[in-house]
Amino acid sequence: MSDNDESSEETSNLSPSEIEELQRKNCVFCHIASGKVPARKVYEDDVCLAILDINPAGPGHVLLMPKQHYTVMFNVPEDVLGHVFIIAKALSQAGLKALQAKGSTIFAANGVAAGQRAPHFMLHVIPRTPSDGVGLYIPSRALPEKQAEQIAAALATALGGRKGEAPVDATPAKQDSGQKGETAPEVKQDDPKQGKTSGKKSDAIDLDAIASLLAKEGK
Amino acid sequence: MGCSYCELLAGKKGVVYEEDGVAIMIHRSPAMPGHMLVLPTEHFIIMEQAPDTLIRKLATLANKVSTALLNVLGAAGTNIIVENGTGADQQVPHLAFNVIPRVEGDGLNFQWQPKKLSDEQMGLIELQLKEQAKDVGVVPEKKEPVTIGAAKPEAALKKDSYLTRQLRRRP
Repeated sequence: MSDNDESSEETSNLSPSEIEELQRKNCVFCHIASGKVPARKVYEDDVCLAILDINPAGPGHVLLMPKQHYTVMFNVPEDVLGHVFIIAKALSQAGLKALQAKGSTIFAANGVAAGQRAPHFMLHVIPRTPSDGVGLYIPSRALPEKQAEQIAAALATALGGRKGEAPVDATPAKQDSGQKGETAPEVKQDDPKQGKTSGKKSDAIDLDAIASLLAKEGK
Repeated sequence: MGCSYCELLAGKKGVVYEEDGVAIMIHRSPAMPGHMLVLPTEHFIIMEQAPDTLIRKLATLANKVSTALLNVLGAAGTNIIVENGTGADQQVPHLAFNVIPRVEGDGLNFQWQPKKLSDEQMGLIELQLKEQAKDVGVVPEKKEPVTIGAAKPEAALKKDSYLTRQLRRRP
């Protein structure tokens, strides 16, 4: 009786882990990784997969992603992320050789506010030439010295306080062992309890909120 | 020296974190306040020159500072951008991961216009890239016997000059 009450509800009633399970099932990139959906694969190993973007910024625009489903980069274990970036370097070089590119842009969007569309973390590797019309450049604005110092000080505190014990480091073990283990809620539950040391005030990060925004977008 | 990032790193100005050959530095003319640079302390121009171990460290730190930006500045997301080479609008000749904090409606737009490529073009690119990427994982295993190749040219040159002399003498 209690069973059918709780099952089959809208996303708003689901726990973060249930949302992620649902995302995984509906994730086109997970389906591409498992071979259920066809794509133009240019590179594949045990950890990651690179395919051609079907809406490319230019020739050779590659989407490089872990095969495992991570919603945002913040959730990606250190070793996986390191591997993905090393492959990005290799693919950048492949683009230079194969397509006579004069450079490459490596791009990642984390969160809807940053322009992330699909709830599966990926890097864009875009071969570039000077007048390719991709139009991806980083604008610049003036930053008052005082504000720069404030930001720098706050970040120095946040980063220094968690030396060698960042929550991102704590996740890989759990992630690797369990297929259905979800990082976001674990990070959130763990950290506030540990947050007794001085520099730990910055652990109130709401990854769930970021992930669930993507859940809505992805639907 | 000509590299502004090397100078800033040397002066420790705006460096918020440093360990083991990598540093995090605040961008002086940022896309957004809180725009950070994650970069090697040693001077590498592009990613392709940097060893894999360094790339791994840069990626780890980029994620670390990315997370910190959410906490410290209340960003709702971040962009990670590496401009690799002049073709990619790289301004300073020192490898750096840009980590840019984002909030809704901040006026930044990193979206590109999709280009229409034919099936044939896509197929060709797929083959070309695959060909280049096929030995990505294998590279460290097979070392090119560079020394043997390097020892030879001298001999080859001598032989060449001997042959050409002979040729010159002939007619």
